[in-house]
Amino acid sequence: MDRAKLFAPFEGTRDPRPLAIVRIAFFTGLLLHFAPSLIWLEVGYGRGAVRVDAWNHWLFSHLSHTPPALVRVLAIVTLLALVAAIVGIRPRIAAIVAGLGCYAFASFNSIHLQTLALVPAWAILMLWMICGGGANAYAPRASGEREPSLLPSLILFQILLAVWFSGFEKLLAGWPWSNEMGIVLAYPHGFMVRDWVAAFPLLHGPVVSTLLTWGTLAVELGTPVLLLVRRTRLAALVVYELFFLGIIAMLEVPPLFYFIFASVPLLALDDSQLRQLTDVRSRVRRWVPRRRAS
Amino acid sequence: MNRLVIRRIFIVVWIVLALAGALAHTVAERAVGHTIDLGLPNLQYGYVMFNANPKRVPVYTYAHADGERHDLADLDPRPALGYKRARVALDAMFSATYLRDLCNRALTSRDDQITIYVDGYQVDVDREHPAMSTTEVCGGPR
Repeated sequence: MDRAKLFAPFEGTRDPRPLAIVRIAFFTGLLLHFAPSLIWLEVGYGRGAVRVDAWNHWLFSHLSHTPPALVRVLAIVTLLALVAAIVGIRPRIAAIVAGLGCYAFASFNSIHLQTLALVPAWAILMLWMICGGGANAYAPRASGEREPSLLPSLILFQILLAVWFSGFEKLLAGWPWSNEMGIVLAYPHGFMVRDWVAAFPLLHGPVVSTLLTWGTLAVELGTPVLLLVRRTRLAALVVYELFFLGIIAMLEVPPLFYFIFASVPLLALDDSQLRQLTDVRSRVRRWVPRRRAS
Repeated sequence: MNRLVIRRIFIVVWIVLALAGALAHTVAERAVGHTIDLGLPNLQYGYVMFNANPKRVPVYTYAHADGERHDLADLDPRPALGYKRARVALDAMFSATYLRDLCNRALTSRDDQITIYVDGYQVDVDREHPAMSTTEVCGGPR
């Protein structure tokens, strides 16, 4: 097989806007995720705080001996790096500082930081540290130049792989025959589900929960593949976005989870598809004032 | 080696590792009986989203001496946009000492007393009524 063709998705350049959107969404998610722990520092990182070891054991053991003033400085530096990444100031350096800071604090004490929400975040941070980029649009010194494809393509691969394997794990766990969504939707008010879900009787019947169980499997196993095929991409993107919108509307999950999984598929869009979307947006913009005037 | 070759090696290594990380938590667990730790943090726990959900779940509330129940999440000063109750519930499920710590931190005076109520629901049997309830008290006149 032709090597150039094999590596084509990871080489060349592409429109800078989708990666800039992912940069803003991802680092905003990280900021929302870590800021409460890093601002109310003494609750999770003070002397005598209840701590849980979920990431790096060496850091877990040793960071507790760090002077509180130094911990405070590290927290401030981490938060500033996250803000710099969102704004688009030196995103690679910001990703290195923010990534090391977030990993150190998550290792110091993982309680309160929802371990599974961080798994894809570490992958994206590592890629950003290695590849850099993402500041050619929506940034103070944005050049508007096209971005190298390496970073966006690897981030897209990583997230679509995670979604597909989530579906595969579900198959191995006995879905769809176990009607697992029936269990999730049966959770009482105050545990995982949003209040409207706990109070909405239609969602608690076996028919709806079975449909949602099958639908979840279909989306998780289907859309990662269909997003890679040009002809089915836009339809798959709509289904995929509705699915993750549904998750955050029904379940109490961290915004970081939604910001990662909802923004990254935009990286699958090629130049002409982005133009199509931009055309739709400008048509809507033209249509709205006309409606208002009439 | 030129940059192109290095870049291609990096792409292949990243893809292979990502796939290995996924398989280490799915196929390997069934084949060799345990997951394989590949060292990198992004490969440490596999890719999981709600694949196995507990059927016995706790709902946490608390009350001061007046007895009026409140959501336990209100005791934690740290905000959590849109998932405060889930965060506190998961923290309490994963750390046995978290509830007591949360309770002790929330005491406002020497005589303050907080009772935490844990209502356990067996959701596949009855999602309306708790199957068991326990309480934990902290503070109070000493």
